[in-house]
Amino acid sequence: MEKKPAFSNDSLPTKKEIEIKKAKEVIRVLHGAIKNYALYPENHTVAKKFINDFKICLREFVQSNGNLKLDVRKDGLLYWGEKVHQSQAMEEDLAFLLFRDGLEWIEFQEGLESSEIRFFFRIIDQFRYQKEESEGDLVTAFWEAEFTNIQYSAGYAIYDDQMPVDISSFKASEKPAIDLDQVLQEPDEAADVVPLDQSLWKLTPEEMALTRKMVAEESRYNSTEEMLRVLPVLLSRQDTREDMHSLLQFMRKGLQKIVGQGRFAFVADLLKKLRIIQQDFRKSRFPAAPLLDEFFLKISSSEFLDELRRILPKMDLKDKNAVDAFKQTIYLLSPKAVLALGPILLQISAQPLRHLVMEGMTLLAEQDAAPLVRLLKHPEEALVLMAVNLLGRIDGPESSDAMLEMIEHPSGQVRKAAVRALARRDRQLLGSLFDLIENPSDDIRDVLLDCLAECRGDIAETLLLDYLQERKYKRRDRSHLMACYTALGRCATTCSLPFLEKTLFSRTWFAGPGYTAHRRGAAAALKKMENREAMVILDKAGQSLAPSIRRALRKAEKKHG
Amino acid sequence: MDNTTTTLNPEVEKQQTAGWEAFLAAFNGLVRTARIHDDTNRLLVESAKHFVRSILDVVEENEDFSLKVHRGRFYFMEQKLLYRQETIKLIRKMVQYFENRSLPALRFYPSIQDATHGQILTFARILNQAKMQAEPVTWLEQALSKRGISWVDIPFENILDTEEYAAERGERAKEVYSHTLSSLKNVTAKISARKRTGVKSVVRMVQNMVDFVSDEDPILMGLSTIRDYDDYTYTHSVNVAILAMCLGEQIGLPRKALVRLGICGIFHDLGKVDIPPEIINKPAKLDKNEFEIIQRHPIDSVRNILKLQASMELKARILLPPFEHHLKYDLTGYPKSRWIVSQSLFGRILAIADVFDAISSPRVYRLTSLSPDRALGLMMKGAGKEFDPILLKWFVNMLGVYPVGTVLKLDSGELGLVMETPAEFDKARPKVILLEAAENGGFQKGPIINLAQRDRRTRTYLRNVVQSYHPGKFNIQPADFFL
Repeated sequence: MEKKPAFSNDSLPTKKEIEIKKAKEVIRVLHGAIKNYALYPENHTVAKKFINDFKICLREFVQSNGNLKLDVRKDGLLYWGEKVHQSQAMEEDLAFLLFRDGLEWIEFQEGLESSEIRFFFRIIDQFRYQKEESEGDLVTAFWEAEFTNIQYSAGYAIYDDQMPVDISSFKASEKPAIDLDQVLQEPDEAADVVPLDQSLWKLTPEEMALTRKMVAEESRYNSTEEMLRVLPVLLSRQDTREDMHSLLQFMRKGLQKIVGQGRFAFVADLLKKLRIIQQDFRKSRFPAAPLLDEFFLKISSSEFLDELRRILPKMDLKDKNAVDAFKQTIYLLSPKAVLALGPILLQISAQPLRHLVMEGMTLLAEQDAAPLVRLLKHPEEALVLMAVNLLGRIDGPESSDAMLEMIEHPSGQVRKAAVRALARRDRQLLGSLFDLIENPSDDIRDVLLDCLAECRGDIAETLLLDYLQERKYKRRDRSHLMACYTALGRCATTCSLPFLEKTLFSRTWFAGPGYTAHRRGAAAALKKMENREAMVILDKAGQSLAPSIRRALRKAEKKHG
Repeated sequence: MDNTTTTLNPEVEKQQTAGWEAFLAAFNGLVRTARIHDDTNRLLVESAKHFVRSILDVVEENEDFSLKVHRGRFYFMEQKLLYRQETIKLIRKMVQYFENRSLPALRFYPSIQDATHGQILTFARILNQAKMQAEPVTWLEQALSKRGISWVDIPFENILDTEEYAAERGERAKEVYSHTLSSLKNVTAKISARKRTGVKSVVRMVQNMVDFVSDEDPILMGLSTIRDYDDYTYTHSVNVAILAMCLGEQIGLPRKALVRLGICGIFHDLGKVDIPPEIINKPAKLDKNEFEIIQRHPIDSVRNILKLQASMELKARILLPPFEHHLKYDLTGYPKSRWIVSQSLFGRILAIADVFDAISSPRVYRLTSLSPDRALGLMMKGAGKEFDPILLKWFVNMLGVYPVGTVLKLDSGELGLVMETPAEFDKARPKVILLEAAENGGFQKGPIINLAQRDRRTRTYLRNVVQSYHPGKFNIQPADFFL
């Protein structure tokens, strides 16, 4: 420490005492400020007040006494050799912290501003509790902070277990000391290397510009991405489970960061490599494939994929490459990712994005429908509904069976969705679903009829025709029958014309009053068919002498135009 | 040192500081422009005018203007210049400029306002050349007097201070080097014993080294010549870190990036901890299996870096260059993989530093190692194939034709040890320490001479290089002579 000019003998006690007292006061204020900084948020009025108090107190001190340079000792802080603060072995004590991290002295200089004081406090707070092994401490953080008005010096005393290496004992080579005269008299060795001439190493303006570009690129360098680029190489050459495990753990953290940046092209590329490695490992003797399986499960979990909630809404859906990369990424995950994606999907309102995520989930469920089936048991109805809709796109008995179960779901919405999904995915299933035509729920019946109506000239027509023609219905209410006829009209071909004509024109009055519903139903069906043959029959009905037939026609025209 | 008695009005103080900073900027502009342009260049003439104006702006009429460097700080008129974030780089640069010339202080007299542009430019050129001199201050005084420049002088009372400070820095640099070695050994031992280990001490040491590097202090470069024949790997790692950081500084990497680069250098061979010592120290050619084991070390370096107790962010930033340090610019080399499509900037820097230090180090399996200048020459043959050609040029510019630590046989019959590379002049004519035979059969430090010095009458060089040697040939540690 620099020696301060000696005080004159006459004034020594007074001047010195005053200065020491002032220094103690500054340190007291400093401690109060550090303590309060830790208690309150940085922008809190109290924290700001204490920072300002310290700034003012220091400024006053510096104006009359010069910079405040404090020697750090184990037992306290010294100012010009006098103890101005007694250290306490606790993390609240500045002297303790500074000494712990090896500071020899610290100087608060003239011009210290609040911003710098705040930064200083932040570092103290951050490194208050020091891990035994870490990557930094107060000193490394001070260095990074590049303080302009806080100077310090740090020693190496903290590294008790590290004796400095004595470099003066190093041997430069194996050769013994030589005789100088002998070397100087040796003939010169022929140069085996062409001497460097200036033209070889002179940098051109273009090369200088390229250098600046390289440096600029370095500052934009995505280190996590670059690291992940290289780790698959390492992974493919691992031969211990322990190393492989820690490597995969590390990769997972890095990958999560990249997912959070929405860089799906990179993620997809990386996952492809990992899938290749996984395949290679399956062929090798080293039992690493299960570790990779576990890795894929982990990166398909809700915990891992949660970042998508934040990142997906920012995605540019017009960017085809980005969209494809996202789909590829999802496809490369474990099918269990569906369990994580489902809840995320519920929070997405934008239709195109919903569509994209659903596409991704479908891709996964096509590999294994079981996770999607598991979602059917979720307590949240919206999620179940979404799962049913997705399951409708998945072929296979597992999904069919699961959806058939959903027909009994307590929620009407879910039941309707299940029926619709089942009916739409596989027309052959319509036969087994047809019993639902008598379901007590209006909704289920409506959905089924709606689905049947969509299948013109197909199994739907046969089923409905058979149901009506053979009078298999047990429900006899007019609205049900009308709905069945209307659905038939929508899906009918000319095959149904004879039945409908016969039903419309039947004069069997003894058929009973309930027959009116059939006649009107037939008229409505013909009206819905909208083809020439049906029109001819309807024209004929319009000219019929039977009022009941003309009435049926009028009703149909009124209702169906 | 501090002026603690004068209290200025804050506004006046602010103006004063701004004036001093403006002077430093003008001074920096002048000496830099003078290196590039000739006397007729308009920019240079403007720089000279600006320099004079900047002095007249900060002094009262008929007042002297003095500035002094003490312990890395500037003092104007005996008042310390406070650091500000915006100007700290400029201030550090100028402090280094003074220290590189052992220049403790300058005092300008009011007559500077009558100085011609030619005189100002001469002053700038003399100052620039002073760096090359064995005794810069004496030389500078003589040069100024010879050219009749009387409006500036070097206050004598400050000279001792500067020499003491330079010696202190030398000691500190040595301390940093040895603690870095010790930190690396500690980490390596723990890794080897499968114990947990952090990187705090390594980070701290590298930060210290960056302070030297970013001050353009040649002392660290001198330390990179340290060799430990018996335990090569550790000194090699530290030397690679130093060379890489120096190259990084040359190309303009910021300080924090230099720290990362330094850490990469320190850890680039961490994978060698897994290689049996009998392979590393085999005094014969390696067989195929042994070579395959050696080739694993970049991958094992990464594997060991992953084991360090550090944040993912830090590890992510220091993994790739050690992995790539044996890759060549054309992506041949090792490790080989179908997935390697590029080599990072830090990887390319490490590759250069690694090869240079390796081929210029005596090893148990190689009886003769290349002298540093020959090592560079050999590397230039691989520009564009093995090494990034642009970075390699920067590297050669940084080291000079005869890098620090090269032993030169001179046509005068003397032996010289290169101690400093000329920054701006003929890069084949460095400053050397003459090696004199010592009684113990070794060498002792002789006078420092500049190979760019010419005979006054004939204008021919006083000494010429006849032959270059590796310092190992004489079993000397160049660093012992620099510090």
